[in-house]
Amino acid sequence: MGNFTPSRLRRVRLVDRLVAGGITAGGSLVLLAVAFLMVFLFAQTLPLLGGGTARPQSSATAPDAPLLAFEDDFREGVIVLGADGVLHSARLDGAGRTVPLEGARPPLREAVLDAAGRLLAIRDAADEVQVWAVRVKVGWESGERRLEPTARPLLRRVGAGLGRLLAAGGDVDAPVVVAATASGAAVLRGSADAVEIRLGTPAAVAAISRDGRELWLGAARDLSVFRLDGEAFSPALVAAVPLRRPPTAGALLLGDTTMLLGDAGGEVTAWQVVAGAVAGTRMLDAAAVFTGNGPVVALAPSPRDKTFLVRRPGGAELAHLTSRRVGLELPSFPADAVQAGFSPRRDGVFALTAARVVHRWRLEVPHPEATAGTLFLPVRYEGFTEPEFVWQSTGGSGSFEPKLSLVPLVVGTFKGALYALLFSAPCALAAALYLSQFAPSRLRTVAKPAIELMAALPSVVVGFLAALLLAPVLERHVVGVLTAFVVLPLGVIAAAAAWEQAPLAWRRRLRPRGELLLVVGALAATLATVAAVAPTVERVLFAGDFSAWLLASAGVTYDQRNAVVVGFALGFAVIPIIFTLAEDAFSNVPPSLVSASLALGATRWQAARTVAIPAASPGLFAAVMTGLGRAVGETMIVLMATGNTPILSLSPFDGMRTMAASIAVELPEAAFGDTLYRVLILTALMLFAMTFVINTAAVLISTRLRKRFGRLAA
Amino acid sequence: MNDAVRFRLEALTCRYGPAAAVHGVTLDIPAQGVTAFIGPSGCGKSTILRCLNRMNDVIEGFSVGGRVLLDGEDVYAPGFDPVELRRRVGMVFQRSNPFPSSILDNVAYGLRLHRRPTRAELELAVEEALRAAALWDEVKDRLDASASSLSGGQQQRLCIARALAVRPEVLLFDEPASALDPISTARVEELVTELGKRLTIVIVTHNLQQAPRVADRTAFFLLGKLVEYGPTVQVFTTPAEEQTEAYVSGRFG
Ligand SMILES: Nc1ncnc2c1ncn2[C@@H]1O[C@H](COP(=O)(O)OP(=O)(O)OP(=O)(O)O)[C@@H](O)[C@H]1O
Ligand SMILES: [Mg+2]
Repeated sequence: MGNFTPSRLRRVRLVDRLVAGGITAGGSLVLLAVAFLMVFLFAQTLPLLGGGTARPQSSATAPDAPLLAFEDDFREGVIVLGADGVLHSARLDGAGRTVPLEGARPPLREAVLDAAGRLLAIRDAADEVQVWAVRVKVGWESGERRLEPTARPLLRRVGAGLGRLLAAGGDVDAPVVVAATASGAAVLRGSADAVEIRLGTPAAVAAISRDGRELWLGAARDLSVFRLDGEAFSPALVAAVPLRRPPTAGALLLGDTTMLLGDAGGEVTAWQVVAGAVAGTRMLDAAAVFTGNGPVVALAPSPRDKTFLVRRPGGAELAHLTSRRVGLELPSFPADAVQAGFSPRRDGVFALTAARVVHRWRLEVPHPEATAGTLFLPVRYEGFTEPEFVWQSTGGSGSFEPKLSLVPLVVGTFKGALYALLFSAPCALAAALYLSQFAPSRLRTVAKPAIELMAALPSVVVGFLAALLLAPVLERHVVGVLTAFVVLPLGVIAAAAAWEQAPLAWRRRLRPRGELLLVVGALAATLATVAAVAPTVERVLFAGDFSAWLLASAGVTYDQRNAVVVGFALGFAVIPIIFTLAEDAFSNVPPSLVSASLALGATRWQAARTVAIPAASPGLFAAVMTGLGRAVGETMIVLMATGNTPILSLSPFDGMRTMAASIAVELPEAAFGDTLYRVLILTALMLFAMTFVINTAAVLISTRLRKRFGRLAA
Repeated sequence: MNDAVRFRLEALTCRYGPAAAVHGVTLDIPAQGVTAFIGPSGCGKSTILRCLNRMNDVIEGFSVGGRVLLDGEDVYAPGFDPVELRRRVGMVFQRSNPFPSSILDNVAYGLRLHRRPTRAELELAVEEALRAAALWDEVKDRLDASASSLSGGQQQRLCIARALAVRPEVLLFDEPASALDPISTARVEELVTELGKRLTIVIVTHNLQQAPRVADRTAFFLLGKLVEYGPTVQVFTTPAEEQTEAYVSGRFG
């Protein structure tokens, strides 16, 4: 010790400083990495919050007397149909092309475009109704994109006697045009005669589904839906509903399920066909009502989602059906607009004015369907009759709308975790109590590492075993397993009570190894009894088939991969965690306290109950909470054993989908930056927050408890 | 003076695993007065003491040979309930070990183990025990205060009160004052002397001044064997054995 020369001292100090610096740097790096991760996750979810923006862009000039306009996919220009019967492709840089509609006699009187922007119906100066297939071809010419509108005639019919053209629809092979008549509407299709639909009053608004088979007609007093299919082509009424106010505008949203009607009172009502009270009948139901200031002048549906544009005399705003969100105003919307609509990719809005200007806005509303409301509150989606919590992120068709309620995932997460705790917490705590306070030390040295070894089993193996072995077995023996759950503890208690009555001399001879044998024997005997009795119980109580009985008597379905399976599997994974921490907590109970209790004439159980358990309780609490945190975050087991059905149900016989499993399953499929991606990141953040809260609560509460049961006289 | 024998050890041999720590000790402990066990560290005093209320039971691998008779009954007989034994034979440890609860709850602990006393019964018994442990005057105004708020010496007396509350016939002390300051030690010693008039007291001590102060009889052990046993005065002033002489005069251990 004495020979610390100055140089040696310096070296020691240097090493000391280097090590300290290294440790600090390492620790800071870890903190930095965690912080970065948090910031990244948070930044990824932020765009969900904003409602979006609409910014004015450069405008284009339209020809004289413009009738309607539409945009190409790339928003390079605007194609405007003038009364001269010519499609003017107005590039924003001024270089234009024109495509005349051959055979249309100017001046055209009116024109309508279908929702997909492919069918153009016009009425020319000679009162002829013509349908044209229009398209914007995009070509390259000397390194520049060139827009080439094309137009192909499809249908020509005499329009005499018909009122205003209301809608075009169907596809190129079988276009359908609807026009108002004095007493209703006329449907023109193919070469057949126009079919008149009588409504009593002239139809004011109409919409045709994209497949051309469904026709919505709004007149002054009612809204009706007709089916147009069948060779005979006789429109069949599906459902009708009286209206409070005459409609002033209408639009069929993407998916052709929701008809929007605007009225002079400023309301936009979303109508959907739902099943009627009598089986087989249909009726129209107002799924949502959007209010606003000023009468509705026109409605335009988005070609990509459930967004729509509402035009009022004072301006225009965007609204979204699913989120019921309204109010993104288009700034400086022209008061003299004759038509407005979305760009094909819904990344912009244009408005055509009588003053020959096409105003344009750039639209950035990346996640209109994800709001706090749709994520956490029940939502009435199309096809639903009630608001519900649904998670269904992907679907078959292009018009499928993702349903992103996080509630089923949160509930599923906690359901799985709670069932797991229900099974694992009693097992692990009892095991820890027994091994630390009662078991012979030889058993302890074997059992403790064995239980801790359970943690080394990869969770994918646990999940695999649960899904492929446990689930089918459980399905066959539900009654037995559930009975065992109740009977096993009772059996042990009964055996213990019987043991208390046994002569003291017997009891003396057995301790302590005999106790273990006794318990194991009691367990085995109870299990054997349960196994023997379960089929009879199932026959007598549940008519021989538990799942059928469950369905018939309680209306509860039995999923093979259900919460009980998850409880076992997840519980298996959580047991070693709770056990290890609980065992630690018991080991930290000062032996002197237990001795004091025993010396006062306490039995070992009394000593455990009055001294060891209270003194260990902060640690036990922390152990269970840590187990909960682990169960909430566990992924692989729930992924394999839950069935991954994101349904909102607390039934132990239903499957579930947890947040962690959803992230694992869906994040790889989600496109970077889209709504599902961001919602999944939000889920991850919530998961993190939840485990953080649980663990923090565990620490705080156990510190509190520790203060109360504060240790002294170590 | 009552000459009844409370404990009779007959060829008591104690083993921790295969190693014997106590070799064939035969000894009578009378019902009256204080008996002290002295001897160098590791000679088996605590082991023997803990045989008297079977606190050794919980130690893995511990076994006894010979007999330990309490009022003529073998406490290691198969039919003898150790829980009942410990109620009759209380124990105070070297380091005070009050429960982390209130003073009242500490003293009431033993009472509540066996039955559900009424509040009045409890208060009476607690006061009696605290008075017997000479602690009443110091704590009577704060029975609900935490036991950890007491000083070390008070905590040890609290442990004595706690043991007294179950009304034991015997009280075992294993170096009860070795962690205490001189004044606290004196108070504990007074208490031991006082209690010796009512109960059988067995006290293990390292302190060679303490044994003559408190004990009526002294047993001297060496390497697990009983070397000498007799009235304290005799053991300390005119020991029969050379080893005793060496030990009590401080030339040993
Ligand atoms: N739990 C135990 N396991 C194994 N050996 C033990 C145990 N307790 C005591 N011994 C051994 O038994 C012998 C006697 O120990 P004991 O505690 O009775 O001595 P002691 O006289 O009380 O000593 P001290 O004065 O230091 O308290 C010692 O050699 C000790 O090593
Ligand atoms: Mg000792």
